[in-house]
Amino acid sequence: MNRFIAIEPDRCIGCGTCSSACHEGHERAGLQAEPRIRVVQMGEVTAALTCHQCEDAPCLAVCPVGAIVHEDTYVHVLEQQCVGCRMCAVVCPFGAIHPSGTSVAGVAGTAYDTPVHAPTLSDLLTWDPGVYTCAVKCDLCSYDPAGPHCVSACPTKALRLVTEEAGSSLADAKRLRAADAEGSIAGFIAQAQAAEEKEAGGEVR
Amino acid sequence: MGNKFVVADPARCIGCKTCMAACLMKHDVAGDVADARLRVTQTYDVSAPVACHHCVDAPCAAACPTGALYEDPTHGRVAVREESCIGCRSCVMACPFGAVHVDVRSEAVRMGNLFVGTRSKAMVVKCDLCVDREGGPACIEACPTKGLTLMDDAGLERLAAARRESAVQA
Amino acid sequence: MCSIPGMENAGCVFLFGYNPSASHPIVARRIVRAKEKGAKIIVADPRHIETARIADLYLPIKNGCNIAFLNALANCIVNDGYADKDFIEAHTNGYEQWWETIKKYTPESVQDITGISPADMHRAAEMYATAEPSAIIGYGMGVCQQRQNLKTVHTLAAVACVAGQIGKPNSGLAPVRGQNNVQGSCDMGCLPNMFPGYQKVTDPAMREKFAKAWGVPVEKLSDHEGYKLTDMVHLANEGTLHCFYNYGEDPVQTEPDSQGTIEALKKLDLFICEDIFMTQTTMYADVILPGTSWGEHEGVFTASDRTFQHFNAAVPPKGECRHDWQIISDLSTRMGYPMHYDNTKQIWDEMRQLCPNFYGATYEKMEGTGHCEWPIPTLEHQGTADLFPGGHFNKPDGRAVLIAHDWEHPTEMPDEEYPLVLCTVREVGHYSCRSMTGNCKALSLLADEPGYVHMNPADARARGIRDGEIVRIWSRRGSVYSRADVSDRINKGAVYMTYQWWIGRCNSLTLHAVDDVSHTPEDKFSACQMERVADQQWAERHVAQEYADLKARLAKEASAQDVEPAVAFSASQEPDRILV
Repeated sequence: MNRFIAIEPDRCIGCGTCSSACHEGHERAGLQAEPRIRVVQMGEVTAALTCHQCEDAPCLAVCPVGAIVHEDTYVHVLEQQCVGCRMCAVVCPFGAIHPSGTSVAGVAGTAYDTPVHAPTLSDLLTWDPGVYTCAVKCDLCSYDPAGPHCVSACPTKALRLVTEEAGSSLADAKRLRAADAEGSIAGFIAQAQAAEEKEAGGEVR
Repeated sequence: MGNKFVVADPARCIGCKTCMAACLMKHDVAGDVADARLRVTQTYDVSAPVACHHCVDAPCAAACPTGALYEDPTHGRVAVREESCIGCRSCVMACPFGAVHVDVRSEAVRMGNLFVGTRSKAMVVKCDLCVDREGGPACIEACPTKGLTLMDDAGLERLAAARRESAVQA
Repeated sequence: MCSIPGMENAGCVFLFGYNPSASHPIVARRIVRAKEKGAKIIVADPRHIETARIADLYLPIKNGCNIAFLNALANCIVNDGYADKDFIEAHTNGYEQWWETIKKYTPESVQDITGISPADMHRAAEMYATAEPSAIIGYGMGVCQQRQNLKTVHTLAAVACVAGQIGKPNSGLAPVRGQNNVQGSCDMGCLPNMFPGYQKVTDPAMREKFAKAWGVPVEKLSDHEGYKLTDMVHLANEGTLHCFYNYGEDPVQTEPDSQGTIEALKKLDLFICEDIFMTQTTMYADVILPGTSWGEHEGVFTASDRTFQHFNAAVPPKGECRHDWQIISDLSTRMGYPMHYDNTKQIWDEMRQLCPNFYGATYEKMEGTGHCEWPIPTLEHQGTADLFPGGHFNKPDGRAVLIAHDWEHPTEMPDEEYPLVLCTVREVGHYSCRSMTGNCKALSLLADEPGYVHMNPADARARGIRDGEIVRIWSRRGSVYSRADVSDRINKGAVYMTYQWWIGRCNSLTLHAVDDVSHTPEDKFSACQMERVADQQWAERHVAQEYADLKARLAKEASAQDVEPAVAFSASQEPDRILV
């Protein structure tokens, strides 16, 4: 089963260190530098969100060129094969995969300072000259034996890499707690039956 | 309220797992996954199957991004729509009872009769109250000590009433 | 023993090293009902078993303390004034001499051996001895598969007699048999010292009776006791045993010291197996005669409480499979003693004529869900739910003999090299050696190879073992891989394995030591050690491969019977399963 990075929202302080660490790590590795984890803030909740590495990933299902594949324990984008069609970004229910690309600004003197689109335009619709669009998503920092940078960078330890084992242990722990709690209802069937028999016997109050 | 759920009496449970065998066999049909939706769990003092509570404000349904888990008031349950499951495991993380999990099966992809490849199909495994089964939940029928009950609002009220009576007489 | 349904009506049910929820769920159900009806439940077991959860008194006895514990219990019953003096006076012999031994066994004097505080021993004595209307002691292999098997049974019988908890309805001892149909095979004389109906081969009158009934000269019938299954290994090694006819047993899997068993089988000149599936034992057979399974034949089973029940076939036999009684008749005829029956009723009726205790058990009485509990001496008799009514025992003077023994420690004690006690138990779900239920999808999905070794969290932690990991476990006899099941219901210092797992085969580790009279093996106590396998991925692949290899070997052996190319089951048709 795939591993994935999960957030504990009560610990998240919305600082964005995870996004920075992700950006920096990937840039240094020569991969797309767009952060693959982003902080989202709603009224009551702050949480850093990223890809769930779905077992039956819709992004993988929809990719027309097979650029998204199941790697060992995660879902992987083959950046060289991606044609930038953005269908994956459209279909992801978590908004965790997005189109990005490396700007050519600054390369061999090429520069442009005239914006070609409003910054508020959805990245599903933007297009910059000379930028080859590519789908970018969490890859569990698979290029780095030390593992996901966001997890180690988070100052409140709000992020965790959930493995199959850890997921199982968590589920086991929940069931054990539930079973323990259920200990307190022991004997309810006999009690209910006794009550029914009494009722059926038509006891006079 | 309206939702029903299967609940075990630990005083009767002998940890035999017949409920689990009955459940997985009931679901051992094409298009379904042969896996038990309830899990016999043992602490030092307690043995009981932990099953889905069909919560009225179900965290699993709330967490599901595709509607593969959804409220089904007609049957008083939280229901499953397998086609929509993408295997993101948000439900697994959300359930406080550890009563949901995800199976992944390898399915053949065909174009007509031509076998093209395989794909992973995620299946969320969660109690569906056997609404399509004559006689109701398979686990309840199978339990040799009659330790499982389908609890609904009426049952809860009767139990509460019996207890209030005991308390008053004490 | 008392009847199983009657257990619900006892005032106290005392389980001594017996775990009904794994071995006989139906009995566990009776105990749940007994509790709901107000019975006191006492559980004495090293593990906090299912029934311990609903027990009024749980006694966490140490492994191997049986006689020490029971003697101390008896000591308390007498010293605390709960002995039934009238019953002892009227129905027993040997009390004075019995007490000479028992008086030494104060609970304090054996506390190190039993692990039970004097306060709890006194509580147990009171709860058991004073229970109204009756008390039952349930026991099984926890008593029998130990060094002092027979002596422990004597001790239990004496406890029941001294407490006056025997010889009345729903009382006495409840020895629960391990398999279906072990009670029946004993009833029918598949014992080296008995004819059917517990009539001794050494009794000249019995030999005369059977010789006459079977139309053979009396010299043809053996006048001395034969050998027991656990003797087979010794006899084969000595060269005394040349041929072994193995009928529906898997000794390589189920007898202690598997490697020793295999070597013994290889020494035989002729090894014949009558079985329904290829097993690790039938693989060594020279000839295999295919029998029919429970669903394909009809006959009579005896339940643990002496109840005969007739069962019917659900489907006809397939291929060359024949009913066991037909195979035996055919073999017998070919060996010079013509034998022919048209149906099982003829066999049963012949047997009834010769067994006074079973005579009244007719097929008519067993029709449908009918049943007969022996002794049932006449056609009018309705069967006997409780033995020894009024305290009349099977001795010439009708009195029980009270026999006491001193405690001896088990044969192979733990030491530095092998610090853990290995005890064999059952797990609910699969059955016995798993040759049948291994083919059942639902049961295999719930539990599968390499099986489990149950251990306490402290022992696991000390070795870095986590729940669900593959471990290597070994003894002086051998080594196997199994899967750790860590639970605080298990007592520290002991590990428990079940004899249904082929890869995690506990009998590769157990000791071939036997009770000196019954020759029952000492499965419940031997010494072992275990460790975590460092490379867990390798371990998972290894055990899966071992299992696949074993199944392939069994299939290859079985393929000798195929005359057409076998249709192979394609693994790729089976959907992959991975669980979160």
